[in-house]
Amino acid sequence: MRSALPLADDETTHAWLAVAGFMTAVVVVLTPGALYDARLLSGADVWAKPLKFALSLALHFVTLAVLAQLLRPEARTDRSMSRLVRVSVAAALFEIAYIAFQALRGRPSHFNFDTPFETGMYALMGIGATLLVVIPFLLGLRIHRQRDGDRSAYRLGAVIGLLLAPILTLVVAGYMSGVAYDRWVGDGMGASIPVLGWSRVAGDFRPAHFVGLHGMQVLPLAGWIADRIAPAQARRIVWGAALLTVVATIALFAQALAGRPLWPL
Amino acid sequence: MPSDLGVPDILYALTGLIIIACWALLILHPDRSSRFITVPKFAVPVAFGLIYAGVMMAKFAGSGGGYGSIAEVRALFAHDDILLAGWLHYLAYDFFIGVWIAEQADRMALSRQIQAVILVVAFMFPPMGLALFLITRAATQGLRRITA
Repeated sequence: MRSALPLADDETTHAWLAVAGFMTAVVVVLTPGALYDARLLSGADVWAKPLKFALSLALHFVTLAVLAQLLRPEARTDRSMSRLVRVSVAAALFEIAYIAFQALRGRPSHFNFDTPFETGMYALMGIGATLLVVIPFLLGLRIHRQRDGDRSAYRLGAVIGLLLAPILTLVVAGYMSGVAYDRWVGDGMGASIPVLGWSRVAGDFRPAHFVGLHGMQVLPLAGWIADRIAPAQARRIVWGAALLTVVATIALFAQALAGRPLWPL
Repeated sequence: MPSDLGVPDILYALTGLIIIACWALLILHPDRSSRFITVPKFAVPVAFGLIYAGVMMAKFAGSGGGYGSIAEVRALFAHDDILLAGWLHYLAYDFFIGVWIAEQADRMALSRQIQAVILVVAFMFPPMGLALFLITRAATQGLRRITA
């Protein structure tokens, strides 16, 4: 049975864990400001977005560090892999730095075309965000191509999660950021779901974005659990969970497009 | 020299240029054992500290201010030369801490990309940068430990 831990003591693993450590520190350091700052942006606390992104990026990079263990040690640290790592770290740092910088100024980071600088930075953020999901996709391909005879549902979940989540994310977030130019369909100002901040009065693309993206964690985890409690059915469970993730993402996306909130008032 | 610029204004501008160059070298220089870093690490706190000492020893007693309350501190810093001394205190200590962060970060093999972001924060909002580094280090080591 394939185990996820321990993590190896190599540069790739360290680099990705360090990003997770850094993003955790960002959450801690920004929390006092979030508590003290009364400013609002698009109806949410100005620091809500940097906090959510830092938390999400911490989880993202722990996931990458853990799933990278499915590569053979030499494949995990070769030259193209360390290039991949550097690009992923740069993209994550750029995203969080600009989002925090804009929060400090009380200005939107996404969907902001007010000034040439902000328009250009929004485009760069799109490139950064794309890289953030393309890199897990490439990691998934690398694991998939490595014929190692590992038939565990954990490995299957990791490969499907790493390949599927980026595709779902590029479709949903790509539509939100590049076609709709808004997180909402309709006017989403007003009541929202606590913590997550998703609108309760208008269509909101972020639930679909959330489910699609976190397939990257859900599918390997489903496989890991299935290996342990239902080994005979484990691979089928992973395929089922993958199907469910796709269906749920599409359904949530369609709901947003129809202008309906996930949890109406 | 325009008449509205006094010695504190000129020293402010000059030390500002010096400190920006020092931080840029700290963030961008590939080799932390270079003299471009090891010399400013001590030269900046000593040089700025001596200006500080000169102003404070000469002016502190007659300033009408002190450390006892916000009102006293405000009265202290109402004098431009003491305000400059206070500002140099910030610059000197912040840079010294910045070098310490960089050294410690190298020791834990933290990537220079992450270091750059932390050091920029340490330059702009120093206590926040120090906290960011210390928590990054603790969290990263914690993650390594629980996943090892």
